[in-house]
Amino acid sequence: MNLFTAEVKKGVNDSCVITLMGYLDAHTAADLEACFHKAFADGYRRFVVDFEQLDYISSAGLGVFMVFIEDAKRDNGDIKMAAMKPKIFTVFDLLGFPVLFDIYRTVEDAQRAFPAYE
Amino acid sequence: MIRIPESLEVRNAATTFFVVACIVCVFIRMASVAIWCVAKGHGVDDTFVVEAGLTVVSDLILLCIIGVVSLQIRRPTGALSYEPVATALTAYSVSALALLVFAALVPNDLMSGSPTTYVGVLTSHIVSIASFGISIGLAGFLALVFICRRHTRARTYLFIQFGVLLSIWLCSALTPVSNVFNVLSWLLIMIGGVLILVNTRGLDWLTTTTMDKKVRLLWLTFCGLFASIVLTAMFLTSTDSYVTASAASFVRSGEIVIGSVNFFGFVFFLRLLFSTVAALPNSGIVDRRSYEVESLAHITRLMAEAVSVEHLLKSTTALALRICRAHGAWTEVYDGKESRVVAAELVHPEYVRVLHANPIIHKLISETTKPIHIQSMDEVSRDLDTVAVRSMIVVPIYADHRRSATMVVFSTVDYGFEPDDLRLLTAFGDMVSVAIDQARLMEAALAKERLQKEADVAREIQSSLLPRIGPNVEPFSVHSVMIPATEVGGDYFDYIRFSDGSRGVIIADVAGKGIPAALYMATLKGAVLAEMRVSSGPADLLCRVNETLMGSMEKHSYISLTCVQFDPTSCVLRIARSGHTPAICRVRGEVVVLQPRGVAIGIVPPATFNANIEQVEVAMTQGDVCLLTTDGANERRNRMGIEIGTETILELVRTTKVTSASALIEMMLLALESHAEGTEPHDDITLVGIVVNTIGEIP
Repeated sequence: MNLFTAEVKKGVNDSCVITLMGYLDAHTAADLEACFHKAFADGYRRFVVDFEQLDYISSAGLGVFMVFIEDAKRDNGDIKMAAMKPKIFTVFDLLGFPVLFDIYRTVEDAQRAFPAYE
Repeated sequence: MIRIPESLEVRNAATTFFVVACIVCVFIRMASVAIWCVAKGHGVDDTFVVEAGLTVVSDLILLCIIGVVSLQIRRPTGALSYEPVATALTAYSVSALALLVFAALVPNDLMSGSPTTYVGVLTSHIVSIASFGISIGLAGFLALVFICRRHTRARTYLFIQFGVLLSIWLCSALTPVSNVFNVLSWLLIMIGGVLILVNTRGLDWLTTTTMDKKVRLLWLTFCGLFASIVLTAMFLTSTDSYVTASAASFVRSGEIVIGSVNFFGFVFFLRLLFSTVAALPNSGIVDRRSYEVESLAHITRLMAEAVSVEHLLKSTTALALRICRAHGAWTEVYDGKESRVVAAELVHPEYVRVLHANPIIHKLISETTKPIHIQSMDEVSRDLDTVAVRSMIVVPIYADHRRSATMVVFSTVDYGFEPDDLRLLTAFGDMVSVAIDQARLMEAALAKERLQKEADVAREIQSSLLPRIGPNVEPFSVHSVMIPATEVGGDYFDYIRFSDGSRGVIIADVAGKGIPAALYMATLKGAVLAEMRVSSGPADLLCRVNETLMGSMEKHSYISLTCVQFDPTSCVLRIARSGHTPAICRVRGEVVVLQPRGVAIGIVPPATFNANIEQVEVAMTQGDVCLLTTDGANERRNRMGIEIGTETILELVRTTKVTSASALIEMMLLALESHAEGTEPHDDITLVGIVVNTIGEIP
């Protein structure tokens, strides 16, 4: 089974890029949640999630984004998703997630999409 | 060989008979002697006929006593032990003493063996019967010692011994004929003594007797030895003493028999005394070993009885204290960083805290990784002069690869323990470790079992929430099925009725698995049942359900749902979807994947949800089918982990020739199972099939 890793690094436009790799399911969802918690604690509210190397996502994995989207948006931040494989996008699309999350073709597009601070 | 009856009732009845017969015979003899000797003034042995008659009665009395003794002496099972020997010794010594005191107190009025007064008749009978009684009892006891000496020839030796005794008597009785018999009888007595010495070997039970019992036995043997030597001397050597004369007048040469038996007893007691003395020095070790074995057995029993670990620690600590003759002992357990004294023997837990306050002792107790024996605190540090604990043994107890407890046994004197104590306490520690591990595994197993039970209940509830009979919505034939996965999931389907009375079906999948999913599913059913009565159609129902559940769901959970409304009159299906797997329809031979817009329930607030929901209508005709699934179906995997995939399902729907919904479902399940190759489903599989009946009225 593919292992799951989530890397956090600082992106442009005051955002934080979380790169997912492998297999995101009920067992590995906790890792991602810990990542988000840490980034939140570090003060980030603008997140870009890089899905390029993610092979699978389960309902528990999807749940993680729902936990944080509300808090991020309340503080004028957002969680934007980028570079999804078609199969992953289908999962998001079926559930109607595009209503809640902005999905971009590339990580750069997602980072640029955050509005400038006033 | 006469068998002694097993039944207690028979034995008691026989004993009563013997006692009564004995008393009757005694009275007959006393009356005869009183008439013959006292009233008429003859001697007992004046005429042969009288003496023979009296001897017969005497023999009957003796037979009765032998009968009683052999009936009442219990043969111990297996080897001899301390208790019967001590009892016999006590009884023998006390009765011999009583006999001697009685004989000394009553006046000696025997004239050449015959009583001259009526009182004399009585006392001489009492003394002689008592003498014989004591001797027969002793003989019985010796016979017991013979039999218990687990030897195949034990009985033969017993008969030989008995034969020797009879020969002694015969020789003694024949002494007046020739002096050779006198010499012979003395020779036989010596031979009998040697035989006794040889045949009472194997006093093995002495070795395993505890120290205190051995000491007691030593004193009792002294008493027995004294009593037997006095009786032997009296009956064998002094011919004119009252007891000897009485016995002689009772049965001719009877005193020789009594003397011989007591001499045999004396030899045995002598042997017993030497054996006891020889066994004394190793008593301490024997005691200790037997105690060790007992306590290890005790601990094993406690473990087998699955008592609590705490109880086990308490018992072990108490045992350790007793075996090591320590002045105090305690066991402390570690729960994370907390330490707690669970068992304290002869020491107050508060004092244990005081000891721990001393950094040297604390380090000693908490940091040792193997059992240690501190003979004297001076070895550790000169600064511990003020501590009452002078020597101690510390046994760390490990369970589940971590330090979980420590047993400490201490003494208030230097060199209070032996090296052996450390070995024993280490064994204790090992056993407790095993017990703790066992208890932990047991607990885990119980917890798992409980969880399994809960999951079973959840699965039962889940399936009980599903409807069993489909709605009658001609021309539509509707059939649904849910195959639960090993782990309880959150799949759900239901047949509903909208506000206008029209019928519908919903299929849903709660995100996640396990009991939370099953609970959400139950909540969903409640919401659907409540909202369907006021809903005009599928999209309306989904909006209302989302509104109801949105606030009460956890952030990370959501429910995907598809709702279909049947319109039998126009043969139309109205479909709304909130995040669910698309519906697959075959309309007029063309397969369409229906994925109307819609966000899963519990993700977005009502405003957004309502703005994004779409409802589609599908006009069906005869033979058209519609299949609703949950992702457990298209993600059904085979051994290689390959999913059956949507394409395969689409192809199946395209080619199927079924005429009823149940046939459609059956076909689908068959296809899924043949793909799965017998693997367990990793998720619930739910299928809802809708087929337009051929017999239906087509508009």
